[in-house]
Amino acid sequence: MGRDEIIFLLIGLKWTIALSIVGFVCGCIAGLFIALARTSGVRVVEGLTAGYIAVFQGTPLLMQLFVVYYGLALIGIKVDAWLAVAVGLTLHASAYLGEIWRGAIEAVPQGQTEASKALALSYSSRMKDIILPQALRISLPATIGFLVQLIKGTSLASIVGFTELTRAGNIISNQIFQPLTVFGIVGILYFIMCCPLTIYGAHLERKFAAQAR
Amino acid sequence: MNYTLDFAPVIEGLPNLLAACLGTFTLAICGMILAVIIGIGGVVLRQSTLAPVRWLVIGFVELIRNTPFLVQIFFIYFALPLIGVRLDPTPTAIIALGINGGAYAIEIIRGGVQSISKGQMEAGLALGLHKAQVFRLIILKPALRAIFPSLTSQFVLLTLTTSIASAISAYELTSVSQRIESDSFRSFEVYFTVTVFYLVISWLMMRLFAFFSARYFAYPVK
Amino acid sequence: MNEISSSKPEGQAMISMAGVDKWYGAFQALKDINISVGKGEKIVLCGPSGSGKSTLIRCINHLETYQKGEIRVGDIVLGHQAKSIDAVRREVGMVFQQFNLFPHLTVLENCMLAPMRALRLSKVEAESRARQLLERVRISEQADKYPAQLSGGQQQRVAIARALCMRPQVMLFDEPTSALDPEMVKEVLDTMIALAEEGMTMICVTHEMGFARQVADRVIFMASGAVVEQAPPAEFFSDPKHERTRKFLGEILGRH
Repeated sequence: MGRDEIIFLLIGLKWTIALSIVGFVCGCIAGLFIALARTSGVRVVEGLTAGYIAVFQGTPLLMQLFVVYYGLALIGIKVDAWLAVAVGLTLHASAYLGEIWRGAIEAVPQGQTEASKALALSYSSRMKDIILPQALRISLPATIGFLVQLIKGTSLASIVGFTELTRAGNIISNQIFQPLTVFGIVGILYFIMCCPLTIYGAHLERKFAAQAR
Repeated sequence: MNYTLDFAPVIEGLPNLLAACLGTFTLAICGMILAVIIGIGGVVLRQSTLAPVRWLVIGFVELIRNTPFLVQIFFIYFALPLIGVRLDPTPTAIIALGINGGAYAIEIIRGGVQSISKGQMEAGLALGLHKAQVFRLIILKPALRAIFPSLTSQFVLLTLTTSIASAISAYELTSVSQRIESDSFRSFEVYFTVTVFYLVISWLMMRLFAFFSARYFAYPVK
Repeated sequence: MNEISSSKPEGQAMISMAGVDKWYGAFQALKDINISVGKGEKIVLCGPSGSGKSTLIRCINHLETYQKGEIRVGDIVLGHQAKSIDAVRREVGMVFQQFNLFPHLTVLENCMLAPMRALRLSKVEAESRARQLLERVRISEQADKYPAQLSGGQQQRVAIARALCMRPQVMLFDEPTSALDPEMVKEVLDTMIALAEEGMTMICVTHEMGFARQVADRVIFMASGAVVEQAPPAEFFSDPKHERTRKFLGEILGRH
């Protein structure tokens, strides 16, 4: 493997990072609304968001990317693979994060809601100032765990035809016929991105568990 | 853009798609069985008195958990022939799924074993049973029961992961749907239908686990 | 326990501990323990918490290791190798504070497991033995229930039956009534008294001083990992020799 191949892989890595960040940030924003809708107390809204979550958690990410990619084309939006994958990852992330945060919101003791209501706080203040800060803290290890899952999930963009790290690896492997070296390096690059996050998430989980005792 | 949905190629391909669902089930079930075997073996090795053995297990778990399955399956696909193992894509995919699921299973099962009180181990030892017997006869079932919910969601995830095995053309739903898609160009219709299929498959998996749980872990606890 | 003759306490030593020392790191948990327990003898072991009494009996079946000294059970010298540990554990039954019944097995299966797996009895033999012993602790009607469906007192009686199913020569009790609600203590003590009357060799870690008076041949008082004093119960309660013993008895019996 020469210098050119390495550079090609690093360009792929850049796109993997970009996809991960876009998917995660947009997924967080959308996921917050999903979580709030899922705990809104309005039965129809709760039911709809529960269905939304069930669909994304019950189907493969690869299929979600396919459906979004061809679905966007169908409704007349001409998109390149990059945008389609970003939209697909965002929807996917919003469902998973929405479910993680629903659990966290429900894990905040009922007394907190009652105390806020007794203090005449509005819904938005109750959520923004009281419930969400506590819920986000509870959910932090799981959220980081999902971020790792999402980074790994961006590799599926390669099957849709977008040249990120894995597809870059595929292309080079076909050129120089050293699949084990190439995929070994690709694997290591993913590992370098994910492992610190995994360790940090586990550290937080232990810390919170120790504080809860 | 005027586009009319046309599901005719999907309906035509229905027998093939349904047959491919069985392929997906086969991959998932075989992968899970392998994952449980690796998981239990890994937990036993993880408690080894030899430090290098423990590190090896930890390294394996972290390596698998922090890299994409797609990269793993490519690596295994190319690595197996080099060590003299020539397999079709489908068995290769099962091995990859088992290894991937096994790493997660090690962590989950270990959590379950740790959740069993030390007194259970001591009571077994005091009755004259060996450590391996205590693990097999006394610890394992309550531990499995404790972790069954997380094991269930991990294995539903494994079922969905089988779709990635299409990358090495293993026989399962996604690769068959890709074939129908490339023949008909009815991409959205094909993938939409297959997505519904997957939804049903993962629902069935959950029912299967719930049924299994009700059958084997039906003993009462406080 | 028909095969156990009710020989006199002074008979041949069933358990002997000679110069046993145990450390947890720098902390010495047992200091030069020298105890001999005759066949059929009943010992009550008492002392403040942290005095090492549980650690002592847990050394006898090697749930705890020790660093110095020798422990014998019958003819077996308890070494640290697996063979002698197995042999000892087959001869020594143990009852725990937290019962430690196996939650996924029925009462009957709890009793059958070790005889089948450790003694290689047939299923039929193990079952008849289990039913016979469940009968003896008067709980045979619960044989097909799971532990979680029983009261604490019932669970502890099952735990006693489970240990007896191995036909042990010696029974160790590690605070068997401490985790029980007060109204259930008596049924467990009654079971233990009945067992004592049949001639079982017993070492009981307990704070039940009424039980000690009624059943024990000897009361051993421990503090800070060492045996402070041992005497027959009448003498132990009426005329304790050591200050620490008097203080302990004062606290536990409510005398001031």
